[in-house]
Amino acid sequence: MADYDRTAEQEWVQLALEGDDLAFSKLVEAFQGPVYNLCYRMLGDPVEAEDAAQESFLRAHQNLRRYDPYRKFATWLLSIASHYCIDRLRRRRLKLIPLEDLRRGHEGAKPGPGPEDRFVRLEMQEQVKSMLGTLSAVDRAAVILLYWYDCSYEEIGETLSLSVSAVKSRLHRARRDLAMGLQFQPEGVLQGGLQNGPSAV
Amino acid sequence: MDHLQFEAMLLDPPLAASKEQAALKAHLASCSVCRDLALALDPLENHLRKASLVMPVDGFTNRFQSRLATKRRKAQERILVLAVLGIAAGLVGLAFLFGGELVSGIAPLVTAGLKSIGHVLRIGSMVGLLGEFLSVLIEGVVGNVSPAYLLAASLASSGLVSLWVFSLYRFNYQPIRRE
Repeated sequence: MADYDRTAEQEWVQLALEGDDLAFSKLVEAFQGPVYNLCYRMLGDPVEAEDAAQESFLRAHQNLRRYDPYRKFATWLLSIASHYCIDRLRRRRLKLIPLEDLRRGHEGAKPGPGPEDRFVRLEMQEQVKSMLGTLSAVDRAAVILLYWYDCSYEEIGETLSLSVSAVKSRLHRARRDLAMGLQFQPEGVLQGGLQNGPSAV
Repeated sequence: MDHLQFEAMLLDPPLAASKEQAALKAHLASCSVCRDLALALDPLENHLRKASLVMPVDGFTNRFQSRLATKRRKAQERILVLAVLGIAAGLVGLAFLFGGELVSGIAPLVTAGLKSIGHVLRIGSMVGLLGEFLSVLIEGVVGNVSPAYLLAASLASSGLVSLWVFSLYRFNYQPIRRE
């Protein structure tokens, strides 16, 4: 998660509760990365991810009075974003997705430092996207929270409104499905990505 | 232990004790399904953990601020439209239920009040053309518009004013300050 000062975070929340929009903007600035990343990993499209992240912050702003200061603000925010993305994915199932949308790369996201690095990064993003795309919305959210945010089972449960045992069973199933999917990948697909892949951010 | 328990151990390694790990190793030697799963899990973990954090395009906060302002404006407009419709519906209801009594009871008072204002304005001719103009205007309105319409118009105006005051209070309007 982004490095942030928890005291400052609480202060911004308090000021935002008093109607200070600048303080809420500081919260947006601090948490835009984690929230956008979650939305991107969930939805797999930069434009949709931007929209979902913006909407999540709007919902957080609207429901700020319901925020429990004893909880981590990031967990609360990610919970809003996860639920919003899960709803969106469920709605999406009802619509046909144009082929162009599926082929579209990650044009909207911030580019990497160099063309080669960017290419490897894009390749890796595509692989991760296709792997996550095989999971159900809630399983996907649980996997994202585990791998990108190092959330504990309890935190994942809190974020997704699930019991710890439900989180465990969902993660087991998701990891098994992902691993089984990997077994059917062409030889070297992952290895290439791993050998050339950039270090974790 | 059965196959499913070993599979659960593979999928949740921190929970497996050293004794269980030994049993797991023995199981892996004999079970090709679990062995394949174990072989696929390592690259999977690495791949997912190494995938970078994707950041939004620059200016995210500014876009949020303008979106917030738009949302507020739309909410205000929606409330305003709903309130106007509510007031209109209320007026129609009132007119339907008590229209006759209201008009017969209040109309003479309204007419007398407006006429008095007209007289005052006329008397105060020192106000000049403005007073003259307003008095002519009011007399014209009183002469040509029915008291029921006048009553409805005055109620609607007062409703709109109270709605405006309410919306100021409700939204606690504060323009967004930019850094």
